[in-house]
Amino acid sequence: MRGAVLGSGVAHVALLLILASARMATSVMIPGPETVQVALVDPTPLAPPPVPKVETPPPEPKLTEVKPLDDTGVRLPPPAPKKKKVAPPPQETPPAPEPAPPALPSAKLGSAGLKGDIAVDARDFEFTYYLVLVRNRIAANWAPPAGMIAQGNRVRAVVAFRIGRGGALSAVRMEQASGMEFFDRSALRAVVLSDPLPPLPLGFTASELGIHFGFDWEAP
Amino acid sequence: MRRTLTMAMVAMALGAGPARSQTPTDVRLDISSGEGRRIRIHCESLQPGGDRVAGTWSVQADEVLAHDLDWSAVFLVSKAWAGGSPPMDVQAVVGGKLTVNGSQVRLNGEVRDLPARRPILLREYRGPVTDWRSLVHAFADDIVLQFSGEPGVARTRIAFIAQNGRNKELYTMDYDGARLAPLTADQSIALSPAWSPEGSLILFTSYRGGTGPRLFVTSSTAGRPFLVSGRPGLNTSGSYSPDGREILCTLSQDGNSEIYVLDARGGSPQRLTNQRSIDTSPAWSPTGREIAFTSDRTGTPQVHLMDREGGNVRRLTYDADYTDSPAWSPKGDRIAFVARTGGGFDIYTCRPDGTDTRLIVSGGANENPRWSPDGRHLVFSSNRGGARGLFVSDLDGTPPRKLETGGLISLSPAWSPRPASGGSALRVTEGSPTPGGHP
Repeated sequence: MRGAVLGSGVAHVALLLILASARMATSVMIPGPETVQVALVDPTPLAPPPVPKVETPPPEPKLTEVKPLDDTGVRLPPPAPKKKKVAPPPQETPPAPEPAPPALPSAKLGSAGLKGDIAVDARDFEFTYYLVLVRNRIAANWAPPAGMIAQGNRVRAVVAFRIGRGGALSAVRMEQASGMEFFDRSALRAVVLSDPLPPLPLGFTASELGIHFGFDWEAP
Repeated sequence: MRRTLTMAMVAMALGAGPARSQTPTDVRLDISSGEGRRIRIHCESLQPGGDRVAGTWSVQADEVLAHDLDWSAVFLVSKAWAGGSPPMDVQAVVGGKLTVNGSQVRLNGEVRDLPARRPILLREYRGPVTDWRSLVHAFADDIVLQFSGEPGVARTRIAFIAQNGRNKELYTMDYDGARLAPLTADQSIALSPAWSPEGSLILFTSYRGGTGPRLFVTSSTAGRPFLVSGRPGLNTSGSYSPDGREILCTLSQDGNSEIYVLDARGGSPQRLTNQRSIDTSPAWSPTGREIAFTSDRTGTPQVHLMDREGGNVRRLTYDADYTDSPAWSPKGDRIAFVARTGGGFDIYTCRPDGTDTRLIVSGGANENPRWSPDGRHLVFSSNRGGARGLFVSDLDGTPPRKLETGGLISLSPAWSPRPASGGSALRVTEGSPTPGGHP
């Protein structure tokens, strides 16, 4: 009996240590000064940012109760150039943009292989915290369509919109349709449901900010 | 010609796409659920200026502002005055200046990103020095708006019932427990307060006058109560419709408790339920089109829904032997209710179709849940930790926090709407962005 209790205690302590270390590992991914790299002017693709090597967090379990406080911020799995066979040296690469660059950092949303990206229309937009807020809001409002598993292995839609100084959305449109209407509709709905977004930061002085929000789905 | 941003996030620029008009900067961010995550924000002390008393005020203002941000459920707050350097992942720093000149106070609030300290929000608030808390709360609400797209609730108040022996009186206080004010001193029993939609009136039940429970209305700041409904039997659980034109309540003039809609003055009653069973605790949906209420028509008290006209009745809760006290969230997406489980009373929420039930609070007797106007919090009464008191849950799994109500035994809370933007002594001036730190 005492042995069982002792064993259980040891197991719990071990579990706590694992959890604590996992938490520390994820906290490295939290936006911090070292992890950031945004090239704002030069269209030359950058080398992958020097992100600490971290494990991809496991898919979050479906919640049935109140969500516990989770302050891990944005998750950044290591940028894995899955389809790029040869990684060209960053400095020599001509600006030959691909419509859907394969080397997206990606994270899974639940069990579906959902990814997304944001592009902005302003060269001097330096407030990445704001883009994270936009991303979080739209992602929270995105109910991925059911039945995607049976359809192809990669789907991408891009929704363009503009954010006014007060956060109101305008000119919401489908910039790049996926060819699957229900997927496009789910993307548009996620954007429209997110209106209004937070007000633009004071330090960004333009009257509005153009956003191109990419919704990706990849077969698991 | 490559610039790197050190503040921001895990982002990588991949250059301009040909299809895009103004050579947009691509910032790649993963989609994962951002819900439930708090934003790390660092509070620096407000710099006092003007009269010497500013030093005392600013120290208090620091704590009020940090509480507001913490209690918003949007931020995870660190405080410069608590020592230590800001955590690595802080996204913004809050600070500014508090200047006192005679009877006037000025707060120059600043929110900047880190480490570049580019301005996110610069705003000046002026008001009478006696109202310094409102200035700080207004700044906090603006910060919440800046990061969430929706203003906070730091300028709201909470009405509640305080018990003193056999008497129960109506009180109001700031949402953080400050500025407590009694509204009745009847030496009678007051019950179930409810705010009017614009916050100027409070409807409540009272035994004042000694003729059983009747519905009264009073100004939310002072004044004496006016009778709204004094029909024979019970006149209880009144609440204003979202447009303020109607009152939903429980009357027993026809023999047993039924749900009625009255006009705002208490006249022209329309009966919505017609059952041998007891129907009570009605609550409007935020559209005013539907009503949640408690009925024991199925044998035990359970929360039901019906249309405004009384039709289309359907049962909401099935999993507990007793549910009561429904409260519809301000956005209409969830309904909070109390369920008896074992010996205690727990608070749950679910969708209006009865799915996705979530336990919010358990342990002890937790009752009378009421939503904050932004739907991010529930205030409720509980006996957790001994004496009966008021608690607030942020609905994100953090433990409920107790509201200090000056040692009063407090129950039956109701959260006010947000104050109207005009009509306050507060003056607000937008700051102008200073030149950025980059060439």
